[in-house]
Amino acid sequence: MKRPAVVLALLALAAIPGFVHVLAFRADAPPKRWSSTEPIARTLNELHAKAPWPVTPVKVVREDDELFPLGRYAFPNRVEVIGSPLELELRGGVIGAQACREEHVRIICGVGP
Amino acid sequence: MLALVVLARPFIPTEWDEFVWLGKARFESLGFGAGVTAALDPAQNVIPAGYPPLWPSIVGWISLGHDALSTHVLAASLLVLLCAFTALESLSLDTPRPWVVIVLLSAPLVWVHARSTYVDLPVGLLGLAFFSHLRQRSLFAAAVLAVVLAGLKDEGLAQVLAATVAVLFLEGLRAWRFLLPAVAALTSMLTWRWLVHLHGVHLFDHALGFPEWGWLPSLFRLFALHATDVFSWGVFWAVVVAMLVTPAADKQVRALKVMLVLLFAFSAAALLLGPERVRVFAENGTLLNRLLLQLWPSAALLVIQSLPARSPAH
Repeated sequence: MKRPAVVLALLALAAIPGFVHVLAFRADAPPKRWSSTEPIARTLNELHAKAPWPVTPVKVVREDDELFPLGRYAFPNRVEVIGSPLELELRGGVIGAQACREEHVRIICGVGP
Repeated sequence: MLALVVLARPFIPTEWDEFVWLGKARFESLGFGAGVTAALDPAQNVIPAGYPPLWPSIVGWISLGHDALSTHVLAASLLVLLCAFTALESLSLDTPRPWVVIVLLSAPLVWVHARSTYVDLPVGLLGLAFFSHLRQRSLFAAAVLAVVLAGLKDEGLAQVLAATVAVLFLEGLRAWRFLLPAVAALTSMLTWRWLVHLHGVHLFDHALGFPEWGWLPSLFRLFALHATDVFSWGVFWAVVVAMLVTPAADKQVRALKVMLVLLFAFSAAALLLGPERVRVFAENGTLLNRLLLQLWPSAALLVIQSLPARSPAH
């Protein structure tokens, strides 16, 4: 019965660093998860308040990588809109660092040039 | 305990693709089947284009049409649990429970994904359930699982085919009835692909071309790099490789080995035959870890079943 004990001991011991990382140091570790999700929820709520889907026609004119996932949830389809739709810029940077703002017919979320 | 681990979290995603998948679930708040309609309409520009719509559709159905992120996350988390229980319920293990728990806890990344709404772990779990039901000759249950797998992701069909070949490897080709669930899954997948083609939706990520053989060394290097990441996988995959090369008399263990080798081969084929963007994502993103997650349930069962059973007469 030595072989299973050795294998199981190896598996268990080798998992410890990973679980320490998962439980304490990852960006989505339990102690950090609540605070890290708050900016996400705030940004999505702002987008919903300013341009609720699918009620408000929106044209996404800029979508940086950092906010791409939120943009895809907030506006899961991207239909070509005829006329003067509301324009949306999702600028990169830290999510939720700055509130979404309106500039004429454009909503700008995020920070960045 | 498993339910507690999966559900005790804020119902806001933190991973990239979670938002993309859950965004598709929002269509069900517009009406039953609106997600399928949108997926088959090129003008909607739904991404990823051409993917089977079953997972986001079910999330939308469980959400009862309520269009809220927290509702979708809860619904998807319940689906993850359902897939886990489906896999567990299909198994009959002789291995002492503490050993099973150690193996299940030996790969930390699995538990990160258990608390996410990615589809990769559910695909692997249902693939394991399909294998178990096929081995137990529960062909109806296997057929249902096969069709569901084909509807979740294209990799679901790979799970069905790998498990089917593995079981036929043991049972022999005379056991042709074991092919029926795979035929059902293939029919389902081909129907969806035909609809996608008919509606002019262009497949990007899963369009297959000529194999990029020059990338083969990178493929092995990347798999080795990710599989040996101790913070994600511990030494789990090293143990799996050891089990794969160790001779085994147990039929189930031999079948699982065939299934795992085939799953790896399918994953490799998808990366070599797929578009360049998929290989770029494999080099720069989480793709390979997510492919390993799809293999994890069957690999975990291989490790568990390779350990001596409780009863010497196993």
